[in-house]
Amino acid sequence: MTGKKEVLIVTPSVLIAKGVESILNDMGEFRVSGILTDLGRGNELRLKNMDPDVILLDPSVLGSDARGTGKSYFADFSDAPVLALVTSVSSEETLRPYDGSVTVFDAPNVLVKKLRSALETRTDSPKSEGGELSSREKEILICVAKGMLNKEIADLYNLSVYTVITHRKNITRKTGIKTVAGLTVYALLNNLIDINSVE
Amino acid sequence: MVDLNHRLLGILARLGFKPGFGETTVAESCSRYGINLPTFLMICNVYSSEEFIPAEEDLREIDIMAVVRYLRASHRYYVNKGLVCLSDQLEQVLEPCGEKPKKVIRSFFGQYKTELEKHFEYEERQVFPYVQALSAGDGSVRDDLRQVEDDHGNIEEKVDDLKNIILKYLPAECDIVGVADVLTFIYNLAEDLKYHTRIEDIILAPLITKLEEDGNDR
Repeated sequence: MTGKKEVLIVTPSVLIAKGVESILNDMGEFRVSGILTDLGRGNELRLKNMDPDVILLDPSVLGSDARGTGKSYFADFSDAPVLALVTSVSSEETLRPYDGSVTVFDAPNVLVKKLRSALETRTDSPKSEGGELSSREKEILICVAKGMLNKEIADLYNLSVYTVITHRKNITRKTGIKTVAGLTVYALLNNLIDINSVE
Repeated sequence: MVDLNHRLLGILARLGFKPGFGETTVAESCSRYGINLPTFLMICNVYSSEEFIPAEEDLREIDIMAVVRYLRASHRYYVNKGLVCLSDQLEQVLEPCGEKPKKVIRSFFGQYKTELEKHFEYEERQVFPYVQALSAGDGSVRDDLRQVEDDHGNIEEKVDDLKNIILKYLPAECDIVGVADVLTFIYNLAEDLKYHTRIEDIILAPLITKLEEDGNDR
């Protein structure tokens, strides 16, 4: 691994693909790991073996009926962000299902910037929802369910209020539950607290 | 038209439309049931697209009292029908469960229901009469509607939580077919509530602001 982020380009135009590849080579940071000129059956297998960080897809590779679904085509193979590589005039409608778009008129630094920001948004959103609560998170959940305030919880465990808030955010992310009443239900159903302690 | 989007059926029902449209046009139906056409169309638009934002000049044609009538009818639907159905379905799902989950989930649902009803009541008692006074040209009343927006956020969060609790954390002995039904129902209800809220936020709220400004100019 060179540490460079890998980009997969899907476009019928070799000229454009090579152009993007050469620009990315010059700029560093990104590397073109594959170029596909169509999404035929044979390429499906190749896709499965590649694990690009970003996919650049020219919407014209897809049949006109599938143009709007562009991004979801890759959902089975990869969770990389998919950007539209716009080579001709495209309606907003066509571009909506993508994580962003670059055009053949973008300057090299704009191209890199767009790729970077697509990756950042992706890493910001937590990959997996759910997941087990840590034991500290459970302790805090129990306090929340009992109706304690952030400050009280912080004092009890010798934490800063800020840390308590971070824990609470993680609890909400993992359980999918935002309100105190909902968290109380969660705690009760999972036998973390006794029903008598909330009444 | 209804064929394109089944959600519109709910709107028709709330506006008191009766089935059997035959070949009557939308305009004819609207005048028969006493709602002005632009208002009706705008309500339908909100329900049809999440991105719909009314243009300022279109808002001018809106009959604000018709919007209020619609919102009231919509509240009545939630309270008398939506929540009652949901509660029945929930009971059915919880039937095989032990006493504890029953009690816990019932109480959560009860809280949600009370909150929603209280919010509706607030709108009916405070907001709607305020709108009525404003549109009658009475500028002497003033109200602070920020509370309404806060409430909307809370209510949406709660219904989300209810959904997630049912989806992820129900005890294994619950009736799975029933769970699917309840969830479908909650998804629909939550979506409907979302559009209902949007009507308040993107049609009613700007109209109120406009009326208030007009009142200040006078």
